[in-house]
Amino acid sequence: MRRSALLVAVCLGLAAALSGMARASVPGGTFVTVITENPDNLDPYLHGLLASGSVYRYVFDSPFTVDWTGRWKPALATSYTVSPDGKTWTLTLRSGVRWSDGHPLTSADVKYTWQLATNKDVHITYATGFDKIASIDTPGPTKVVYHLREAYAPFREQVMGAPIIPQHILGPLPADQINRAPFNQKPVGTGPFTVTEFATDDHVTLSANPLYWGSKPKLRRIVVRIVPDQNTQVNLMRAGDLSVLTGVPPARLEEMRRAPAVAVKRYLSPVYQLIQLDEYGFLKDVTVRQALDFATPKASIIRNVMKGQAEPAVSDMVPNGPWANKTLAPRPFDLDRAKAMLRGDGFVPGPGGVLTKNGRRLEIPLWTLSGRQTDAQMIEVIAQAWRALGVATETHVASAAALFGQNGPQWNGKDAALLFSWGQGTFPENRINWHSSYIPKDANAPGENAERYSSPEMDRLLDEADRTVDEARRRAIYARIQELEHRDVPVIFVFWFVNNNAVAANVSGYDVSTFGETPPESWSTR
Amino acid sequence: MSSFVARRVAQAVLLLIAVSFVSYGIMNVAPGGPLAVYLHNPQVTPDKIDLLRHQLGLDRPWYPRYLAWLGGLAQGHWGYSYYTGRPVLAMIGERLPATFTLMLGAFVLAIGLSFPIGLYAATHKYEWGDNLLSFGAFFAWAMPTFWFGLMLQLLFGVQFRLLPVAGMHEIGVTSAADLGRHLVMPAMVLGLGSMASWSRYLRSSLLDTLGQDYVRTAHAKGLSRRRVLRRHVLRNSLIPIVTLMGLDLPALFSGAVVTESIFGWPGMGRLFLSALNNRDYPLQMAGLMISAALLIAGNLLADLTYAALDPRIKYD
Repeated sequence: MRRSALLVAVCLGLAAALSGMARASVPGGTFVTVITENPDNLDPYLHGLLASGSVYRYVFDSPFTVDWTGRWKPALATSYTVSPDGKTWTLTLRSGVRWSDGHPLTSADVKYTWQLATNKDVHITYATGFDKIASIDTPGPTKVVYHLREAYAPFREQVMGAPIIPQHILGPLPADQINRAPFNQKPVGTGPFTVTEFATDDHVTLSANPLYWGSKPKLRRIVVRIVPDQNTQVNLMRAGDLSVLTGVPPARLEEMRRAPAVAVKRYLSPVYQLIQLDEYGFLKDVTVRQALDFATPKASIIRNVMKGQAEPAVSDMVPNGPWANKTLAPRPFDLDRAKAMLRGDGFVPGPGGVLTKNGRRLEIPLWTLSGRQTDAQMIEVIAQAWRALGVATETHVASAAALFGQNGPQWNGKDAALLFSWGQGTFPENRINWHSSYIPKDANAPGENAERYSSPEMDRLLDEADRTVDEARRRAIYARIQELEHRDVPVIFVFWFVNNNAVAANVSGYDVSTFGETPPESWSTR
Repeated sequence: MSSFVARRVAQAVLLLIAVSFVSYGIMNVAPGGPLAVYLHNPQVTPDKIDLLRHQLGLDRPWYPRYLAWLGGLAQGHWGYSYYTGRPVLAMIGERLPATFTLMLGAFVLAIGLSFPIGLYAATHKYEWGDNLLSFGAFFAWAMPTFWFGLMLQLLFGVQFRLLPVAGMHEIGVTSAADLGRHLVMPAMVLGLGSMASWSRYLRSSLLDTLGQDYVRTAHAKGLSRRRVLRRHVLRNSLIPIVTLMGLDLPALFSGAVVTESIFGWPGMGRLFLSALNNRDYPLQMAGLMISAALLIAGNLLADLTYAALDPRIKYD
């Protein structure tokens, strides 16, 4: 008995000693965020995971950037001009910019970025727009002249909004060494912060870059923690271990709102939820697709499944952005109208109430990704409504590799519907989604237009949009493109996600919108 | 004895080759592939994916790729991760200490708790203490790891702020005391299942031995209860427990996957989980090989400990 009492006393003493240890803290100026995945590669042109962007965005700059209000701002560049034929873009770089290792930034770095992005021997994942460049002249250290193969309007967003990387570090390396360079874990950039420590699967520490060309960062360092479990992330925020938590899960939003010393910021995310309709059989028929849109209870999903953390979607342009066609409205949930449309289209109810046409049943299985509880609930809600319409709908949940891979439902030649989300971002360029040239040729040839939507008018408009540098004209083209999206229903637009970021009370200078966050050099912690 | 070990090691090598062949084959016929991750990334264009497929050699059939991988392994090359481009061996090396720290913590905790609990329960059969411990053991066994982990976090991390919620160290601190504070909750979560099962098995094994004639004889000879327990009962009751411990080694390793994810512990479990999700074949294979090797090593270790515990068992 006495022995066990002693054991308890020892345990209690140990716990007290452990808890009594002061937490190591740096006086002021450390900002802690969290991401779910380990960044695979901090080279902006070689990374595959979105998590990598959450780290390298502090390290690299692009010639131009979109600020958090959605406006284009010069960054590494001071100005640019475009020739009347839209094929020559001339860029003037800011002078006096240095890489974090002290080397000056010059036009050679801009040219090298293009050479790297188009290098066939490097494992490049991001090169959109760079392939439009025929050559680059560098008449001076701050002058860059891009010669394009053809007029290409998205050039500003895709190329001049893309990070510049240092030629003096990667230039001398052969391709296979670039794929495995230490730079990929500890990059050298021109941004306000620089990576000082990368503890894989644990955290990345970024320290203020004393050579930064912009206003001096108020923080001493940013720590990006890597914690896969969302509930653990919420617990970390509640324990006071994080400065900001991006994307509080809806299930714990209320708890976060009630937590002391935490503010919750709500904003529309440029990510939409869609149902891809694979056009093999009946789904080739636009009337069927429209009827399914009418039979999808979008408002109810927003209210009941998303708990209000979503907003209606009608096209792929974020509704509070400059490209949204404000004249369009989502189709309301109207089963009677959907039934009437299908009857008019020649469908008749068969055995079990399933609609048939020419002896074939209207069968559309509904798939989604595993791991997201809300998606799994959503397909059940949608399937219930579609069954009420007379569609034979079975629900399936699969991993990304199984869903989008070569043995997945996209390649079996049968109608199918896939529910997932797509990050359109805030730029209008959506050619890869709707242009018929992006319909994959076979299961081994990937293409983003996996719904196999094909419309000559859409193709013509997308081609024209790419060639049109004039802003007002381009806006009119995208307005028409959205009308076609709404009319033809290549996919059903379900909703736009709303994100909620939790911000600790000791943080100032931080804010967030659809277009991004306030510049990190303006953040501070007390 | 040494010839027995040599024979077993040779068998293990053959077994590992068979495991690797089957795993590689299954991995390659499973739906999707390493590039499916990019299919969902609007920034990665179709021609880029085609190029990556060629660069990674994924446009070749799987069996020549398997042979190349096996040949590399024989020379000590574990290949490069598809995603980070880094050597697989280096990535594993970085995380090995974290995982073994966690496994060791869980193992020590499980041994430290299961022995006194099992002993107490066996020597106080059907008393309220025994019943309470039995209930506790079954409860611990049945509890979902992730739920228990999150509850511990809420209680000790959020509510009382006694222990850190997640991670292995405070940023910039590398002291052993700091590591200890971070290790308490994950080791408890990981070791709990083993602790519960070992204590139950130990209890029943002890009860079995306590009923033997030679134990009664020992008592009749006038030996003290403590001496009987230590010299005659405990040693003979350990044989089934040792088997369990050996078999639990790989279970601790795979259980670490969930525990590491919940507690943001930077170990191998998380590495292999993301490799599985992303179909990073070289990394996936390394994980499978380590897991299989641990299983085989655990079995061998259990067999050798038998011989040490039971003089009737001889290997030749």
